[in-house]
Amino acid sequence: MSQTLASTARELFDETDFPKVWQRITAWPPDAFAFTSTVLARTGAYRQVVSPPEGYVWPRDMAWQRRVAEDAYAWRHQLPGPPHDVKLLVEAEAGLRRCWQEPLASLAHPRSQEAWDNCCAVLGLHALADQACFGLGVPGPQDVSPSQKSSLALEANLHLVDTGTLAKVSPEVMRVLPKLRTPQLGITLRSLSHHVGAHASDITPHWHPAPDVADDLDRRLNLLLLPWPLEVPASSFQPVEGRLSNMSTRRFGFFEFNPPPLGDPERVLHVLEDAVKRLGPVHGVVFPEACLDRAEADQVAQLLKQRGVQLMLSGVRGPEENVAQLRLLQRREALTYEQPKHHRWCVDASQIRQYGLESVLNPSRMWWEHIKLPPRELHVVAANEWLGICHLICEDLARQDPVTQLVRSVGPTLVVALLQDGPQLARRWSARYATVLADDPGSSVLSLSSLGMALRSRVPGAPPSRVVALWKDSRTGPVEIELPEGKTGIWLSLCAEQLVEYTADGRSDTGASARLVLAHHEAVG
Amino acid sequence: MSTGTTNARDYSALRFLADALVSAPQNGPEYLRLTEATFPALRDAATALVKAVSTRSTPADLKREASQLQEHADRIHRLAGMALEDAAAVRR
Repeated sequence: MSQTLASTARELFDETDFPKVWQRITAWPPDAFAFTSTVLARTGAYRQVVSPPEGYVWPRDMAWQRRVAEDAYAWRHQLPGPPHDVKLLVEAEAGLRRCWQEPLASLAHPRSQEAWDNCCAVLGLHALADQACFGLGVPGPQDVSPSQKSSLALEANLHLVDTGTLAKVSPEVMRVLPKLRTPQLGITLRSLSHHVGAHASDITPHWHPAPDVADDLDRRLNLLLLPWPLEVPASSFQPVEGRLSNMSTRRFGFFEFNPPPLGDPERVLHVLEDAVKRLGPVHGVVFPEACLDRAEADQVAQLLKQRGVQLMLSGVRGPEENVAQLRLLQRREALTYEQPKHHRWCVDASQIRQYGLESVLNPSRMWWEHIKLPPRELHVVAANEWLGICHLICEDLARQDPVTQLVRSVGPTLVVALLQDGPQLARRWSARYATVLADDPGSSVLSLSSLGMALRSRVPGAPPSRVVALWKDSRTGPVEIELPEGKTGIWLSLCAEQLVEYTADGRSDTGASARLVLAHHEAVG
Repeated sequence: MSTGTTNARDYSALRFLADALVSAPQNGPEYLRLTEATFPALRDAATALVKAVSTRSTPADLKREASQLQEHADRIHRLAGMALEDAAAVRR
């Protein structure tokens, strides 16, 4: 049986009656966006904004962008009441009503004026819903008219904190999330929205407004990278008993990664003081994957807080756990955003040789990281309109399914990948995946490994490398960042550039977007 | 769940409320209703936020109210104070 707009509405809203569905989606713009996203994704009709059918044009009038902005404003400011005199909504209603019971395929391949009008109705409603969601999720002043008694922004933002979606559709079916970047290459459904993105997967996203963690006036974020441990002995990898009895012990094994302890946590302060003295303030300190245990992380966070550091991002390990922990430190009450790793690392014979682990891991077996895989989450911490950070752990950058689609849907301005990996050379895997995210959605990506693991990596014909970090943004090629002999940290200064981005349907964001670029980096400590 | 993780969720809700209140203090009762409906446990702190914003108009007033809330014995009130300070400090 062919899918129709009505059957799509049943999946999302458990309702097929057009007036009731129309009332629901006009009462809540994120639900309208969920509906149009589902229809456009299934039909591929979004392509037609850059490749309309022969004999038709998009947009149909040159004032369309202005009309979308004005009508979306009118729609939003009439909520929670029903919209009136919103012309683009009236046009959309007529188009959707006409094709409500027709196969969705008619939208994918419009062959008549009426079919094209119907397609334009869905595309127009999608653009209006996106524009009506302007600013949702971004901390700062809310767009409320003096006479307005309710607030889409507050209600939607509270719903977002509570459920991980702006839409009132079941999160298992579809989530609608705030969005910071619009892809400028290729043509996908994500190309058609500035302010919100649609996503469906088993990952629970957590979107957090955050206190300002950087220099908002100068639009600058300074980070101190500590690529520790500086040495990783082979004995940091230890075989352990697994819990999967169906796996052949001849072919598979499990290992734990327990690098040497941090030692005196005041070591961190020595590097911090050198960086502050020679280069400037440090807003945040970053450690690689599994670098600290929980007690060490608590101790270091306490010391950094006392020195006025505002954020700490660290890989934290524990029994059967490998998490990334972002802490905002600057106040009496600490805020912690903790995200477990999504995929286990599997060490095969070639990696055992590469990292010189033959003495502890039998190369004839595949060794899986012995960690639990709890329900998947992704935290996005939005400090302002130019800084939205999300963090990934090692494999989660490489295994694109399902997290990459979610990262692309929300378009964080900065993705930090915490690794225990070989040198972060531009020819290696982390650079390839960083480039993918720099292209779409346009995020800047920082990967950080430990010097200890970088130096363990031995590739025939290649000299040992001390490249512990890699920077990639959408403007420049990858930048390899080396830790010279005798140094223990790297100070990194990131600046936000204002950008004008366009949706594929031709709408400008009038310079509301930002790209983080690497302004300077220097070894310290 | 660590206190820091619980704080993160409570702060997020209170921060969005504080942003809305700073933008439209006249809508305090409606904003309080919305917050209570989704986060009943935040009711007292949200009420304190609404009160702080409704009776104070200058940035200095708001900062003072935020500082007082951050000295409160209750954790959620302290988070409300942080949220108010951050909302009042945003430059646009």
